[in-house]
Amino acid sequence: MPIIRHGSAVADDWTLIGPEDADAALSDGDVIVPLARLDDALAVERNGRVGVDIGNDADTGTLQGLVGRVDLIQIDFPSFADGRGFSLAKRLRNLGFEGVLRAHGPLIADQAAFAESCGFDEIAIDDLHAARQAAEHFAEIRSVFATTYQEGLEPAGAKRSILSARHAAG
Amino acid sequence: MYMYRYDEFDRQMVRARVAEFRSQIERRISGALTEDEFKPLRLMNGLYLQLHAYMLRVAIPYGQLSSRQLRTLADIADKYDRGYGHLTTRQNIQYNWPKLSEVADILDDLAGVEMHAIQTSGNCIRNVTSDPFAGVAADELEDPRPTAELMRQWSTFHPEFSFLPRKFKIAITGSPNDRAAVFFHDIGLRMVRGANGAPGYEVIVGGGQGRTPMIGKVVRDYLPRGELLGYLEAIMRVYNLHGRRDNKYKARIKILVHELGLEQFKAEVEAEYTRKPQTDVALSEAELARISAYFALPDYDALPERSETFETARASDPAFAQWAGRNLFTHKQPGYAAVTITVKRVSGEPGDVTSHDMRAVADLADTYSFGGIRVTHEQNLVLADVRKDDLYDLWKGLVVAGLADANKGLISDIIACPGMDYCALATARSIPIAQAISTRFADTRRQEEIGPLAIKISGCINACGHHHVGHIGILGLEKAGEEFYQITLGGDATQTAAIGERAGPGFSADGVTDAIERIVEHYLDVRDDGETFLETCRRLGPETFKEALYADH
Ligand code: SF4
Repeated sequence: MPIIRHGSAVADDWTLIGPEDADAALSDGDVIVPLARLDDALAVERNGRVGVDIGNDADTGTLQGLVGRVDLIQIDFPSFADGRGFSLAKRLRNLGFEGVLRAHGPLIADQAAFAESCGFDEIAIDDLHAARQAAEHFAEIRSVFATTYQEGLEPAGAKRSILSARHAAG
Repeated sequence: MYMYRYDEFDRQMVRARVAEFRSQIERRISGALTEDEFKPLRLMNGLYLQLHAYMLRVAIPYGQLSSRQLRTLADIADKYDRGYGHLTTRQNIQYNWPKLSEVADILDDLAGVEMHAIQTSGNCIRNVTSDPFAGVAADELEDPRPTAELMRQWSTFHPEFSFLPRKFKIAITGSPNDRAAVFFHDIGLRMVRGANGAPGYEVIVGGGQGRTPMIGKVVRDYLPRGELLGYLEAIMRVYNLHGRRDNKYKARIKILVHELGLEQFKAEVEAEYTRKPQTDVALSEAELARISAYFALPDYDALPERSETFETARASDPAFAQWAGRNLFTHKQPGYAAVTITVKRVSGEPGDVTSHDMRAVADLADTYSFGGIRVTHEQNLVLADVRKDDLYDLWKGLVVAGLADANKGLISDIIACPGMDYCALATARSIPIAQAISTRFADTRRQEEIGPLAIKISGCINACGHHHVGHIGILGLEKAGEEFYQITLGGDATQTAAIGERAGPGFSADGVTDAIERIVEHYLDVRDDGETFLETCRRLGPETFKEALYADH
């Protein structure tokens, strides 16, 4: 699955484990498991990192429990127009999650900067979608908006929001 | 002009947006974006696909315009449209006939005068609306415009809240007399003072019209001023996470508040608010102070409250006296008045302004009102800062321009949505109904006798014409290919908010004007001395009109 990180396509180091996959798969390399299998994955002897896929309708009460326990959290976007994932990401960052945040789904290039601002590190899109939307599109739109008005939602690379730039000391 | 002016950051953001939109159109043409993907992007740039053509809705933040901007809007109407524009109930202006190929050029022309069409549509935070008399109203506690501007910036390209379950509308009033309908917005704000006199806001959530009208509920009696953006963010996050996405008719925040219950909703918001790092309180205060400087008072002359010139003209010219009695509003500065220019001509289309109208108003604003114009949610225009000494001359100028209708707040000052004549969602026409009513009641003396009466007309249950809050509301529906009109009574958009009640079975397009007339005649029969239509309706209940309405049916 193509991964777009800060506007460039990069290799995917992680293996997605489905609800039906054999337990053996859990112990090998960097894996992303469904929320329901997270405890199992964390319990086995393993040689890689553990990430979790929380969908986009996870009970928001479970989010705090993920902080510090997993290295990656994947949030699904069933449709690009369903923006719930942006708020899940922001909430996780506010709760102190410092691992990798991955947006997974048919996001469009015009959402790349938004996703980063909300705390996502990378976007995983499927092949069909990637064939239409080259990483360059993501890079182009990402560079159009260099900053934001909103404090605390600056895109990666922007030193500060417009709000704080206007009122920088001095 | 005493209004917000863009700095380099604001300019950069608008330029970025135009560049992005050009890229989006290119990617749509190349097939990189599908039609489904392109649609919300064009909507967030104000571009709708209507019944016959595209429609471009241009943002007028909290209804404030300079004469230069208004002239550009007139030029756009001539150059790209059919010589007119349409003022909307959210203080914006829309063009009904632009060509898709010219939209980016229109956006460039707009950008030249610090205007744009950003977030005038789509499932995002829309243009913030406010009191058209903001900053000049004698009854105002505080000028709401700096806060409205702060929210304009904060909501612009909000990374987290640009793909909400549904559209989101915010209104603010600085006066206890609500002229911004804050109880009928997703979020309504009233400027208040805290126990220690410190400025802040009462926060109202979950009001709205549409197919499920609801009066907003107070979630915070008092929110300190600097905390506004953080608290709004908490509300928006709870909505974005929990608002329904399975059914677009149940996706507004009012449904979430209703389904969770006010207490539960409040608890969610407060919990979210405490989770959020409070980094922007001091910054918000500083930004509000910066913005407020743009709204400093104009250079008023020191004048006595009473103007002899005005009084003399009023005594000698009855037509002027009638207009002055109706279209003026009390100003906080002695010797000044705020003037409403209604664009509700007899048999006209409510809210339509020609390029000629726009230029005439821009010129009059330059001569008499510091070059500033406001658009009201009643689809009228306001010149906010006119010396009483100048009112007679201004009025003569309005007469020449054909803009001197003395009907503000009267039965012919009708709000109507575009309806079947333009809107793809309409089930019935609304403009012709407005025209028929204003023609029937064309006699201004009769209008004066009837007194304040707000008729609001929607062409379908989406209620863009605000019929739920009309003193008389008219909703156009369709049954078996026939238009029919349902009447509601007793709606009220102000601080005494109420949703109108159904009067009974509907009327045909031909019958609705007669029905309105029967309601009005009955009101004139039963009213107490000095009682307005709404007061009578409250005192006797809407049932009192039933017999008059249906007796001969
Ligand atoms: S109320 Fe209905 S007909 Fe009127 S503008 Fe809204 S959607 Fe269109």
